[in-house]
Amino acid sequence: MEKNVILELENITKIYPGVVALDSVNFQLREGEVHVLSGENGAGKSTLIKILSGAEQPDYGSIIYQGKKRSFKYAYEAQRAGIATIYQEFNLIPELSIAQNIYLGREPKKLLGTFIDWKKVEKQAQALFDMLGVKIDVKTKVVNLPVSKQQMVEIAKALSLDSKVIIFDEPTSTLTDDDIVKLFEIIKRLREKKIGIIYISHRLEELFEIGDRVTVLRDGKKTGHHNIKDIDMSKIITEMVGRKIDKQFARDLQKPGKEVLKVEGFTSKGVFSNINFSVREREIVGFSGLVGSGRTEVMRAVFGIDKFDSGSLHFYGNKVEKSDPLKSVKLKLAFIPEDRKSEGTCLNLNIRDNIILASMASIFKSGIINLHEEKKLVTQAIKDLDIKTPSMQQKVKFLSGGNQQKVVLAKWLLTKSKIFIFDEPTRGIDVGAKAEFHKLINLLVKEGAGVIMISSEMPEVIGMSDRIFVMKEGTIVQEFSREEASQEKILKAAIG
Amino acid sequence: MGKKGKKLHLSGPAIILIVLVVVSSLFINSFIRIGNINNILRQASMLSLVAMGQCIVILLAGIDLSQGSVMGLTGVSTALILSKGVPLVPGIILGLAIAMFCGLINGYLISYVKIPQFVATFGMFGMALGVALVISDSRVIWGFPETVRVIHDGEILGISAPFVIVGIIYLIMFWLLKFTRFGTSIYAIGGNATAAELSGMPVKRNVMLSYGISGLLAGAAGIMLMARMNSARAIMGTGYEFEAIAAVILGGTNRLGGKGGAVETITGVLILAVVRNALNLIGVSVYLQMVAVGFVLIVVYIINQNKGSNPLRKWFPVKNKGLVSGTTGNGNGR
Amino acid sequence: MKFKNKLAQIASSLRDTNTSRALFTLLIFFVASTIFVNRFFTLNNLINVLRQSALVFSFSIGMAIAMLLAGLDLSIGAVAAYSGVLAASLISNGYIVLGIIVGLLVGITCGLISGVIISKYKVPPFIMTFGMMKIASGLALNFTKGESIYGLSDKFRWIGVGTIGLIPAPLIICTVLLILLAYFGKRSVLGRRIYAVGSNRNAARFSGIPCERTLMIGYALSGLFSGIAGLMFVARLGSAEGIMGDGWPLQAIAACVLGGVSFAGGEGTIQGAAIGALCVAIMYNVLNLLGVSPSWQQFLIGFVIIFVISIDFIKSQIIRKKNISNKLRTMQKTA
Repeated sequence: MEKNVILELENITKIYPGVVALDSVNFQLREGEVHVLSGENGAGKSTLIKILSGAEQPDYGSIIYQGKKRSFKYAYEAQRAGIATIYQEFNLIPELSIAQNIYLGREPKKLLGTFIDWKKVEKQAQALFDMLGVKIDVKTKVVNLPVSKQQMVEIAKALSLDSKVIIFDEPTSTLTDDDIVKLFEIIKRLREKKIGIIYISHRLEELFEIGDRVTVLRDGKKTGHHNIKDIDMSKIITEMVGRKIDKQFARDLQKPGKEVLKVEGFTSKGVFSNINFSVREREIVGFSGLVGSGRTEVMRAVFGIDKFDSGSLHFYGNKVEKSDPLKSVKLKLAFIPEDRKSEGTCLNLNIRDNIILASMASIFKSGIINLHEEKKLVTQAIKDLDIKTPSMQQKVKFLSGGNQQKVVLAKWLLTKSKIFIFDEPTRGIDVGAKAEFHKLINLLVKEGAGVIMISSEMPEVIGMSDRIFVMKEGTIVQEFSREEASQEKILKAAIG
Repeated sequence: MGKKGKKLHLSGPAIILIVLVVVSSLFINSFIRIGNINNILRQASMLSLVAMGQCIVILLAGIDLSQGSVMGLTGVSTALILSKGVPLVPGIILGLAIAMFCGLINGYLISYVKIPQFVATFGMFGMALGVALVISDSRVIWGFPETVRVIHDGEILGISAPFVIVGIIYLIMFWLLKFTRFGTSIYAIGGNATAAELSGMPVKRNVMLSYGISGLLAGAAGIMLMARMNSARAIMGTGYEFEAIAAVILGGTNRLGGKGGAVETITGVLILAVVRNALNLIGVSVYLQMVAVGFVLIVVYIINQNKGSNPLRKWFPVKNKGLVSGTTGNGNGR
Repeated sequence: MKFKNKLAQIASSLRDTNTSRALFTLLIFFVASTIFVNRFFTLNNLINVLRQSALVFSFSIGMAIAMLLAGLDLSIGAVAAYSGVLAASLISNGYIVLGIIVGLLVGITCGLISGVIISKYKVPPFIMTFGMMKIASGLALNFTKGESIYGLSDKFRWIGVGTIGLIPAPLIICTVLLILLAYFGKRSVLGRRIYAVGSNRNAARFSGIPCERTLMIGYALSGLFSGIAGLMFVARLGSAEGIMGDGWPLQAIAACVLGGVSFAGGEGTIQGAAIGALCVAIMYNVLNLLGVSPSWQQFLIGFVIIFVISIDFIKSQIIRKKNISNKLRTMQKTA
């Protein structure tokens, strides 16, 4: 055991249905160091955090904390042991004050334990913030605080629990530059107190500013481990994405036709700004970028699920004032959402009901469904997409992920849509089904559709798209043609 | 519901109450007489107990539809127990125990078996009413010792007994909600149950206890009503849970947790009582009052909701969707 | 040809596991009652049961629609009462057709208001319909000032007490309603939309379904059927009181739950609610025959609902856990 190592992960492996999230990962954290954990979306960082914080258990491997092997079955076990995790979604109670939130469940009492000593709670909370060097009124309700201050409440809470390890999960994604400066000052103070810090971030420039060491993950494996002073940006990027793309993607490149979708100056305050792009018949436009860069939000606004503040939207050359899902469907748009379970399919209904859902109003204009014709259409769809099921009466919740996604696609094929928006279409689907899906999308394009594909899987985005837009923090930062694109270039633009 | 940020101690509902009292005094002759005010307050005593119990449950983003039946059940049981010769205090304690038991069953079903609150409490409403009807044989119960009337008619230091009882209970509830870990957990669970659980709070246990308190207070109201009417019927509490919900919402307790408690609840109770009384004095039928309360309940709920949800969305960071491939969503499409 | 279609359609509705489970429950109730209760299996008694179940079914339709939309409608009894008293006052003055129309309109309006507020103002269904229940009840009681309305013409009363041969009119009417609803339930675009909105509102919305409109129509239909139930009830009683429909929500929930309609939304069928209504009617009938007091009956209804839901819930939990561990096991083998 090295000197000063406070936390060590040995050969941690975690397997979810269909994917190996972590593959024999080794990791080490010293007292008083800031150890950065880097990697793409899906590289395994979140899973590692979940294991460290007790939200998940590793399938193999061990956690060694303060020299002893530990296993944390519940989140608060890790907390009580001294490992605090600060997520992007804060675990705070909005209507309670800062002081109340920090000491939730542990409030000091007075008068023989009959009354909570609120004065003491406030004093102790204030002391924590003094230690952090932050001026704040601990009586303020959390809901009235800006995000940066809420984050500090979480940090103060971690301190109050006498944490020896603090994990920051993408702490700066919602902060302004000034906030970030303050955050780094706080982190430096935490370092002085010999607290070990695991810092996860995509923003590589931060890495060099605050980090002591860095570990890079890719596809669940550790690909690199360095001292910050021994490394530079391009080496890290290579370790993050430097995989061989040996998969062949079924893409018959077509000559693009008319413009079917155009977006100009598209803005939604605080979410995305000044988005400009267009999609033509027979082409696939890929959207890459980090999680949270706004890609899904843009497409939801295009489809009409969310509102937008300014800019214009054009379908088939005609300007559209407001869009909503009903109108979009009538205009032959299709939206295949990220989360097929909660947004894409009605799990409790059967395949037939799901497939006919979007098109039934337009096919059966009288309002009465002709069961015979429906059966024909659905059977054909199941055959065309090769959906594996004993019958069309099977409830969708019993299908595999790939087949569920095919049901979603089948639904839209029946509407004879011309514009398809795919949001992470093959996430969580096994390799065979992924290939089938790509073939299907290729076929769509051949038959004249215009496709937008949001994807965080580099090989997929590069292999399938004709053009690729990279988004970062709500804006489009770069556009690549199919020939120009490479994993390193895209990631650089996404992080840059 | 005062302005956010400013330390205004007069909340919206409090202002409404004051305005109502002033207007009624000015325009309705018989309103401001001592006898009438006394009447209002006495009438409101039962409701204030029930509403306090409902308040706690509502703070947990729940609801208790069984309070009226529990009131009836407790009243009838206590009346029977007392008429069998059991002395006053043990009799009352037994009755309250029955009430709390009903509440704990509700809490258990909701917290541990995870039955939706309205189903569990609606079912309890039926069951408690049923049991009450059975043991009372659907009759009115008389003939229990007069001593119990002290709860309604007695005085302590010159103040009517009901007021004292309500006062003490409210003080206890105030302490419970604002000065104990249990109380803080109630607000926490209502505000963000996941965070509360992650902080190691005994969420399930506290939810169950809260429903127990709701039942207990309903039972206390039942006994008080029994004392007032000197008789007990199984259906005597019917409708109280609705009034209680209305009172809690009118008082400003925000349904999704965080805001509300003893003070807000008593304000809401008084608003209802004053409105009822004023409408009565004017001659509006009881039935139309029912309509008015139903209407106001819905309207206030809508207003409350709009106030509550917006700030949250503004200040909380955007949801992180970064999942490792392979973990998608939750089990069902909700 | 039509008969064959109807047979096929009955067969397919039975394939729906919720409804077939309900049928199984009904079978158990029926067989147990026949075996253990003496006077159950007589022609007279069975007709009674059927008549009672028609009544229960009539007001359970609204609840079933609301539950399919992942909500519930606590106002069914009160709306029925309000429709009933307004209609009765017109009918007793000779305006039969007008009375019926008014009754139906009242039902639709109340339902529509509930639907609008639930969909546009996001008030939870049980609060909104709870409020509507008090409003409609208050209005009904206020209208009758606590008294009964008599003097309903015999022509109108046929709906409640008349017979065609041995079969009571309400049973015929409800059977017709049942067939219509079962037919259009899964065969109409509106019906499919109701199922989709109840099953997963987001997915429905993203598929271009007008969710708010569907909710409004759904609750309006619930009000309509409550109105119909109110008219039938008044016709049967021969009089109308503001307090009618008091225990209906509880019975309706029992019928729906026993019939396989789930609070989760999108699960169950109207046919299932009919089966559940039969179960409820058998329950009450048996308890009566056994001499159990009405008060115990109240208790049992509440108990049955909780019991059935708990079982359903526990079962679904077990299934879910089994699915997850199965998947993990197979995946770990291949990984």
